[in-house]
Amino acid sequence: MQEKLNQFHIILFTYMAQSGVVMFRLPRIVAENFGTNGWISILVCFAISSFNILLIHFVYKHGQGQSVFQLLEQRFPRWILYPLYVVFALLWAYIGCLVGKEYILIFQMISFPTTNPMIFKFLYDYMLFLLLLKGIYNISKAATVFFYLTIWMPIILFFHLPEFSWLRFTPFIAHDGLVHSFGHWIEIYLSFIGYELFLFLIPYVSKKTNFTMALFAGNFVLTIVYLTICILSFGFFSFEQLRSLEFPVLDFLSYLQLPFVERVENFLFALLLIKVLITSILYFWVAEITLKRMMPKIKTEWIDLFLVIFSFTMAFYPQVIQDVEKALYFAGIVQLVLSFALPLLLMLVIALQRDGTRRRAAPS
Amino acid sequence: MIQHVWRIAFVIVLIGSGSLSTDYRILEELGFTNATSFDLYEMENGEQALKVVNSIPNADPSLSSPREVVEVVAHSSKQARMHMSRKTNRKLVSGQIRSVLLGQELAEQGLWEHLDTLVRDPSIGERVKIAVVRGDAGQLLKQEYPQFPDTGTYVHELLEKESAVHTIPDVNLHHFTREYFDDGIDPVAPIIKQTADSIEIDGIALFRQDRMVERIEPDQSVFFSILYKNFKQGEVSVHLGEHEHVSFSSIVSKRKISVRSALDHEAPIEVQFNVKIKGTLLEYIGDKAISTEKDRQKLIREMETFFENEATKLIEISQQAAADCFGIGQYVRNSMSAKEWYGMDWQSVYPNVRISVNIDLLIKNFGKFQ
Repeated sequence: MQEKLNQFHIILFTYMAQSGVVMFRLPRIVAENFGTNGWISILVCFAISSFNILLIHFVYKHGQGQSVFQLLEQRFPRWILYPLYVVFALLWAYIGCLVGKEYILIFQMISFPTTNPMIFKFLYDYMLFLLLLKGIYNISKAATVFFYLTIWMPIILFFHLPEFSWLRFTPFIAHDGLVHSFGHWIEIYLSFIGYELFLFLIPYVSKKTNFTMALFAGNFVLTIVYLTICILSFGFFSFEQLRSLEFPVLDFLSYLQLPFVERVENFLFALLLIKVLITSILYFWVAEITLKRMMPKIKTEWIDLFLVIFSFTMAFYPQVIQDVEKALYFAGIVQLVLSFALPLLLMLVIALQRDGTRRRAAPS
Repeated sequence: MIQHVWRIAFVIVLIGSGSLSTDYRILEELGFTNATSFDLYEMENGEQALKVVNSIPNADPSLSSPREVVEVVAHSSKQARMHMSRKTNRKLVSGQIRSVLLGQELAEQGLWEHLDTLVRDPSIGERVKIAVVRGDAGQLLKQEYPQFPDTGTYVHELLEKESAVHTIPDVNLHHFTREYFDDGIDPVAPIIKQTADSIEIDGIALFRQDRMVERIEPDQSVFFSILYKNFKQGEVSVHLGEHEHVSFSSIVSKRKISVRSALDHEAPIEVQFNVKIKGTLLEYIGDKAISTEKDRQKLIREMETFFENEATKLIEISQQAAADCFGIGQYVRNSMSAKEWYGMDWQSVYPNVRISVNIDLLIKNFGKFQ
């Protein structure tokens, strides 16, 4: 019997899939966008993402456990869907690839400045491939283990409390000195996306699981972690300093001094690889099942191999962190649109399906 | 079976890729700089350059000198590192830098462009101590002080210890950068100087943005500290009169700053410091009978007045220099709207702010003797 995902796994998996490298620059992004009390924007994003999860809930509740593909294929002809499947599968593999590449470029900057980053990318993709072969249930179990290995990290930031000052927050909210743009808001919101891929997980969820609550809880854990990081950063750095730092959380970690060791940020950052790996793998896994849907006869291993080779090849192009960030931004926007459009589309399909069933059931 | 093949292949790839890395470090071949100094240097053609001295401890016991000192003249600190590399057999790395010493002349001209490179470099930690040297920083660092550990370590430990007892503010790269970027506070840094056989704390440098504009005498440093931030552990000697001397130790000081009339646009802004100081009196030389309650109260009032006068003098110095070292701007900023704050040039307003100090002093005990 195929194992199903339970609630606890989904909570942790959601959190792990949503959080990634963006965490390291999040305090700067929110400062740039929302000023000295930028952390408030995290709450706004939490509200929007919760609404989005509510849409996913409707699909889950009324879709009777049917997969996204089953629902779509009931309404749309394959000649429309299949090209879209290919495009999105490649997009997801590309996002997974970019997430990894960004991590590797930062890792290279702090630890291995002259080593070719593609060596690390190769190893990264290899790990990804091995994990991908194991299937979604084992991936979620790995996510649970990795969660415990990394969740304590925000707690160590509390070591810096003596340097914390509420004075730096100021009473100003979104003051005039800042340039506001919709793009900045999207940049903040992109740190929340990842939960929308859980639509594809619906057929794998155990019937006893409260799927929606698990997604909410995962999103809530993420919000708490983001808020902790942002509030501590806003009290630790001065506002303009925060806006000037590329990766404030790295500087935050580098300030840590324990009685027996200091400059632990290199070690901690290396440990975060596993967190990034989970974000990447969810995108790869969704790409895998999408391609598999089109080509059910081809072995999953070959699809995985193709995706990993594709990812590795695509990773050659962006060589500068800013280029990766830019590419992630544009890919993220597509993903953001999809996160709202797909559940709405599926709800429409379900509504039409019900309508059709009702008509057939009614006496003519 | 296929899984096993993948796993074995992974190990082979891991080992193989390890050999492709070019970023390997061999401990014995590295030169861990532990202190560096920057001074202004005028070249023969009149061009201004930077004199950089690095102090690199030697780990090899066969060497007679405990450290290697390298001095170069360059246009920037990174260029200096490249020039230094030509002079030493070891690969210079910056991960262990503990203190950065800056010549006063350079500090007066502006520091940020030299600190920017330190902040930018991921190998340099945020806890690197910053100090201004009265005179030539390179000369101070080059000098050996036989009674003390190697000069780099000596300077670092001196700064650490003195900041722990609050005779100087604790200033590292993070603090300086944070206050440089904050529009409601200006940075400060300790000053040290070279004497015949040692290094000595020589006061506190006040900065406006990144330029040193004023110096606080070392004798006033405790009064500076009570205005600068809350602290525990400190001591001060007070000369109340010609024949009256008090030693006040184990000081615990808490400051509270209130802004009173920031909303009134006509009158100047009024700021009040309320400082509560608790401590132990361990020495009294004078005419008062400190065993009697009446004289004790009188002594406390005199000490409060003395502290208030000293604190007021410091505030006047900082206002004259237009260097808001106490962060009064942060409190003023938080008392007004964003529009008012960003519409105001705090640096030009600060010298005209009316600042008063109220000290509330408590002598917890008079030692073991009545």
